[in-house]
Amino acid sequence: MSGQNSWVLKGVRPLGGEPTTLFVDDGVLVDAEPSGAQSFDADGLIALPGLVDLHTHLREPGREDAETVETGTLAAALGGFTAVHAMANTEPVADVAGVVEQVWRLGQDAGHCDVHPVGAVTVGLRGEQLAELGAMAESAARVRVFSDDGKCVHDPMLMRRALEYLRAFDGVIAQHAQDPRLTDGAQMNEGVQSARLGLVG
Amino acid sequence: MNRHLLSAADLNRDDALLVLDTAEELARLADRPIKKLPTLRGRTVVNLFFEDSTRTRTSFELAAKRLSADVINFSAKGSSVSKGESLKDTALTLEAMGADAVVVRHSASGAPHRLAHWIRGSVVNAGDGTHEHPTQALLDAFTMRQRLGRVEGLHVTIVGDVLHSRVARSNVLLLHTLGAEVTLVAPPTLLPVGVDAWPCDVSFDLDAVVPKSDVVMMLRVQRERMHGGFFPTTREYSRRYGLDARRMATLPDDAIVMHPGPMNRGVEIAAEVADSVRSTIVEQVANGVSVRMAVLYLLLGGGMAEAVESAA
Repeated sequence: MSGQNSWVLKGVRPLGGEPTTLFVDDGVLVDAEPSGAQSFDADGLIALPGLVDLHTHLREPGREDAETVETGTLAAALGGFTAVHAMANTEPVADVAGVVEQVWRLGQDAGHCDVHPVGAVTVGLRGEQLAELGAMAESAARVRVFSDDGKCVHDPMLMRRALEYLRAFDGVIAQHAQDPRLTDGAQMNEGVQSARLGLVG
Repeated sequence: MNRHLLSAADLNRDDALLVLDTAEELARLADRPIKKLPTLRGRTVVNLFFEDSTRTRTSFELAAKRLSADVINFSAKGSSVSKGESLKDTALTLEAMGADAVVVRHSASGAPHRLAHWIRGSVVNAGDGTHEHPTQALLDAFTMRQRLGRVEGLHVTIVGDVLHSRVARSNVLLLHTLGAEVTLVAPPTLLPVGVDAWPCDVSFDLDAVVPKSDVVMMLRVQRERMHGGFFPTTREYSRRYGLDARRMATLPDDAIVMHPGPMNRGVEIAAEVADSVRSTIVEQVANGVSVRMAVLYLLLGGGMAEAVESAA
C-alpha cells in the first residue's frame, strides 16, 4: 500500500537533463506509477540524489544558542541534503564514544536527515595525543570520518600514526591544508597592504 | 647446522627439528635428581648481556651449567663496556680468553651479526634490538609441539607490537619453516611497513581471527610504547587487541595461549587468561632451558645420536 511518500513528479529534470516524469513508491524510484501516488508539478525543478554535506557545525552539545542538531538538520533537509557530517568542535569535544553517540542519537530523534558525527583525531583537538578513534568507530555512531577541523593535525608524526591507525576500520581524516605555525598571530593576507598597514601577514 | 644462531632463518626445517628433538631428549633430564650432563665439560660459554634480562640470561646460564660448561656472565653494568669499550674490543677480549660460545643480548639490531665476524667461537643471538630472538621462537615451537603434538599445519596468531618485537620476527620465520600458518594481529601503527612481504597473513580484527587459532601468542606492550602515540590509550589497546576471558571463550577447545613474558596483566592479557589452563606461560620458561641446552650442545659440535645417548 503506497503511503504519503509516493509521488508522480511531472516535468522534473534528473541531474538537470531533459524533462521527464519520475515515479516514487514509498521513497524509492520505480518504473511505473504506484497506486495512490500524489501528483506534483515539478516543471522547472531539478531532481538530484540526496546530497551529503561533509562539513557542518551543528554546535550541539555546548552552543545550542547558535545551532542545534534539530535546526541544523532541518535546514539541511530543506536544502536537499539527506546526510550531514557534524564537526567535532563541540563543548565537550566529540573525542569520545559518548559524545559522538549523543550527537548521532539527536540526529535520529530529529528525523530530518542522517547525522554522521565526525570524531576528533586528537584529545580535545589539542593535537597532542590520539583520541580513542577505535571506540568512536565501534560506537552506535559508527564514526568513519575524523577531523580536528580548523585546529589541524600539524604534527606530521601524529598524523602518520592517525592515518595508519584508521586502516583497522577503514576510516578517513579530513584535514585543513594548512600549518598553523606559518600563520601564528596572522591578521590578514600577506602582501602590499599588510606591509603598508603594519599588520602581521 | 651453521656455526652461529643469529636468526631463526639460519635454521632450515631439518635443523629446527633437530633442535626440537634434541631438546626433547634433554628435557628428560629435568625429571632426574641430578640434572647435569658432562657433555660440554671444559668448554667456555660467555653470557654477554648489554641489556638487562634476568630471565633469558638465567635460562642460558642454567642451560650451559647443566651441560657442565664453564659459564662467564659478562654484563654491561660494572664492566669495561660502561667505560666506553667498543663491541669489537669486548669481542676481541672474549676471543683472547678462548670463549667457545658467546650468548649475546644487545639493544642494537645486528650486534650479534657484527660479533660473529670478530670471534672464532659460536655466537648465539639472545635478542638484538627489534630484530630477532631465535631461541625464544624455538622454545615457543617446542611448547606448541609439547601441548598440541605438532607445529606443522597449526594456525598461530601473534598479537601486539609486531613493529618492535624480536619475538614476532623470529617466530614468523621459524613457524613458517616448520609449516605453521601465522597470522599477525596488531593496530596498523604497530606493524612494520613491508610486513606484506613476510610469510604470514595480517589482520586488524582480533575477534575474527581468534576462533580460527590453535595458538594465540600475546606480545608484551612496552611501557614506552604506551606514550609513543602508537595507539590512543591503554584502555583502547586492551579493548581492541587484548586477550580477555570473553575472547578466550571463542577459541577452539584445544587452543593454547602463549606469552614470552614479562606480562602486563590487564593490558595485553587479562589475569584470568594468564592463569587459565590454556596458558603455557610457565611451561615456556621451563622449556627455554631445554631448548637452549640443545642449541649450545649442537653448536658446540655435539651430534644428535650422542645427545640421545648421554641423556639416556
